[in-house]
Amino acid sequence: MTARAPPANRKLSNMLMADFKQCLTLYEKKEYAEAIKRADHILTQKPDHGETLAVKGLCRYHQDSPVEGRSLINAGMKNDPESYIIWHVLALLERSEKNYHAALKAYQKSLTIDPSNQNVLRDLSLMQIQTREYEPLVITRRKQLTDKPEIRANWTGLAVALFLKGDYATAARTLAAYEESAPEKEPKDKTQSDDIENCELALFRNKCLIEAKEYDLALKDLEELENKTSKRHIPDQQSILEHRCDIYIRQGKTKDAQRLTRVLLRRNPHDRALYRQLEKVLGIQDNNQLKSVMYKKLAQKYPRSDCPRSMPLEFLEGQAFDEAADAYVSTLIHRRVPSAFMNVKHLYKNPAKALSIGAIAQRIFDGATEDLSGASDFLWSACFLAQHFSKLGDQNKALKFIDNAIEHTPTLVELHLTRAKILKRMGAVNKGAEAANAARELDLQDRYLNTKAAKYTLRANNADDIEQAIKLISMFTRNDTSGTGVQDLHDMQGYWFLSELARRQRRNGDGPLALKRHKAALNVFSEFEHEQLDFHLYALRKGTMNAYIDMLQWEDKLYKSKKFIRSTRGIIETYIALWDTKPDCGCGAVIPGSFPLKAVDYNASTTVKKKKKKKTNEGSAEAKQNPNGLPTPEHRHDADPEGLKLVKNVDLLETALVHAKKLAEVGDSLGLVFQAEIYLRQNKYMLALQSLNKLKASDAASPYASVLAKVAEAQLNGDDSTAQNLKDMTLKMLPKLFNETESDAVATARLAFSVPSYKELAGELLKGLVSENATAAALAVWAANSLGLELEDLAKEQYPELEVPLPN
Amino acid sequence: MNIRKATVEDLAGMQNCNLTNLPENYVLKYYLYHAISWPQCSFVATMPAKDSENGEKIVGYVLAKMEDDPVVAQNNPDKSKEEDDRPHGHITSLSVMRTYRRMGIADKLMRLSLRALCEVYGAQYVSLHVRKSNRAALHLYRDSLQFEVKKLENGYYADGEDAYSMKKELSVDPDIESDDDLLVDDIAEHTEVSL
Repeated sequence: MTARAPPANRKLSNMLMADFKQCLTLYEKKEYAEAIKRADHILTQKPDHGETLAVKGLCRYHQDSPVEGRSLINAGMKNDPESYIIWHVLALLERSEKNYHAALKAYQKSLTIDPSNQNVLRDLSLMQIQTREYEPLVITRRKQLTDKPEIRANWTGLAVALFLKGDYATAARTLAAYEESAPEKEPKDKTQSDDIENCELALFRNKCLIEAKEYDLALKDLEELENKTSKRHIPDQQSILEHRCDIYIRQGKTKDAQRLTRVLLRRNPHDRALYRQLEKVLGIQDNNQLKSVMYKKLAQKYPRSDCPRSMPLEFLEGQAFDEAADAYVSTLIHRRVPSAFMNVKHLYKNPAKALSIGAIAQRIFDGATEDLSGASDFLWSACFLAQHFSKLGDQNKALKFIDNAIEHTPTLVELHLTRAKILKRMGAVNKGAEAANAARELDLQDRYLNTKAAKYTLRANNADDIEQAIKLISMFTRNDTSGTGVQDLHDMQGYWFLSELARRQRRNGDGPLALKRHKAALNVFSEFEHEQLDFHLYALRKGTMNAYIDMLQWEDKLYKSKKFIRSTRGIIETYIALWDTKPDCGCGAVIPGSFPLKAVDYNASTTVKKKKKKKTNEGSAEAKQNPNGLPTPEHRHDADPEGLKLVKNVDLLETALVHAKKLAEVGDSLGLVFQAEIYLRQNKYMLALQSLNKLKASDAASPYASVLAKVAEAQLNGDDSTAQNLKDMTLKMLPKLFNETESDAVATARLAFSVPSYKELAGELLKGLVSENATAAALAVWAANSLGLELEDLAKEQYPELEVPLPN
Repeated sequence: MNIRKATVEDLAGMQNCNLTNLPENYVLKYYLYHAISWPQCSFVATMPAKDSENGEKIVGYVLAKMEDDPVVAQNNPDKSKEEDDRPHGHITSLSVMRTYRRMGIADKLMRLSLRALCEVYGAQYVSLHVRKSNRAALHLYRDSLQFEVKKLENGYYADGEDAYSMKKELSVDPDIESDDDLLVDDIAEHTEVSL
């Protein structure tokens, strides 16, 4: 690029230049009002001075005027497009706005104009790592190192960039080069941080060698680190052992790996992975007899460890299992361990094991005596048996056991929690919430019980559940002026609460509020993403590269998490349902299987008057900032309490589409199905077909997807006979889908809706869902109802307690 | 039940466990700060769980750190007399889901954390705070783990409750250092013979 001469309007007189420099200093000190004063002074004399406009814009941005701020920066850019300062300013704005790709480009542009700017170089590297541009990152970091080789973090920064790029050997050499050339600090000058940095970087260097498959070098390296007389000695014996063991395993040195795995086991005999590792290095994974011997020995050696007692239950069979299970389960029951059942629950996929375990508890129950120890056995075996029968699906029997136990000792919290779960499984969601609340009332100090009670309340079917649940959670939160802790659970990233609340609002038919809470739940994930930004620099200073790389890898998987996918699906479904019920869309109703929505007043005003602060609260202990430096909830103000801004003057389908694309991007095939649904509503049939064509073979075979495709195709070419053939084909595929999926009441109803001739079949399929479990039954009754079919009587036969969520 | 060192991947689960159990809560960034500053001294207890993210669910955790500013204590004339400037650790937060109690999880988490603080970070003692009303925790720290009560801090918690400030001297466990080959070989031999 050829550098153009600076535009005539950039040059400032010496006087104004001094003002401009002061303006920059004031900005850096965050004295925005003063900085703007200087800027305005310059602008009165040079109204088109681009750099001043830009800096003023940045100040306005930080004064909570983002729109004005950006337009000032844009104006500055227009006047002086080749100023590195303005590009830098733009980069800072984009970074604050979390537009990391845009920030990256602006930093790059600034740097091409002024290649020597160290701060810009550093910030560019941060954006490159935030956006995972590892190749260019290496180049930036190399330049940083060349410019400032005396800073250790620059060596570390290059090494980690190389590591991320996969060049482990060069990464190791870079770290070694620093260690070998750096002057050693006097022991008296060494701080605790220096020691941690040395230790962590030594381990990182070793890890690089291992990843580079330089095993012999890595072992030699570990010897040095372990040697107390070496100047490279580090105190982290645990990590040294782990590295060495890892190398032996990779090298196939099984004898050495066995010995070290045992040493590690002695350091932590509660780590299941180490037991599995021992099986593997002994080569006995497939030999149950030898494994059994191994675990028996280890159980003797580690009498306080659960692993060697519980792990064999997974592979033992027959009499050997019965004996081992008896020893394990009866000990837990005698010791009154509340989680006794949870410790064996995963074995219930094997029916023989489930029966055997049930028999053990039954024997203790039958043999329980009248005295004090007998009472304890009676209670805990009854509790166990209740969970046992509930898991096996016999809720009535389960309820009898637990009611019996509660009658004996009404004050035992765990019994009430178990009862709540059983009632939930019976479909008696209201009584379940009552039971959870009974548990809570036995120990009002315990937040765990409070959380459980609130969750059960949100899943019940009473008109005032939301109010009640908020009242409950607010007993343990930092509350705002309205006296509730809803804002606190936003601040504390309480995903469980936000997502439960969203689902309940949707069930209540309140679309905008459901969206608001779903968005808040998703926001937890974007906060997680943005929170990493500060650690790119921090970790380089600390030297903790292994944990830092773990962080990057965790962040990379963040949006693939089940929670993120579930909330995104919820948003899309709600937006589509809102569109279907919008007065001008012509549908007039949400498609069957979805919960109906209350009418939304799209003309309602969304401006909220700020409530006057209550003076009484000020100056009290509550005025403190919370420990995370956020403004305290009582000083916050909700600009959109009903979520109306999310739907008013918003293209509902386009917004849903953005989320559907994100969903497809993180690998959820439902994202593509949703895209097709949206395109069909937009009459974009070709795009609908294209989305469905991208489905994986297994997903494309889903009859629902097929019907969507068929509809799109028929719409496109009006070919009736082809449409009919596709219908027939889909019909044949139908049973496949519903064999595997659990909550497909909705899909079934949608299917019937798309093709009216399927209605009868849909009725049959929904009947099938009734027999699965109470939750599926409740949904099936509801979905059938929306198709004009009646299933409630049948469901009530199977689940007399069933409470179907029929809104209004 | 499974107990192991906490990694960054565990932090959101630890945060959820904390929010479920305790009134003192933190944003994830605070957990990240611990994991990136002192990656070796926090631990988690997990149970297998089909529906959870990695096939396991976090049912307990200990979040620990080193106190790294003895300088501040020196510059603060009010505190310097009371404060002990030797390198020391601090237990930021510990909790176990109520339904997973009585399995010794908290005790095991603490012992692993204390060893790491001492062995890796050279902590000579460790400190923590406990609610005055929390008898179970007090029992764990004082009776099982031999912490001593230093003082009662009035109104330490946001809700006004008092805290006991507790402390325990740390030293490297000699058993861990010794390479106990005899026992190790004993098991190896048995397995060999059976093979």
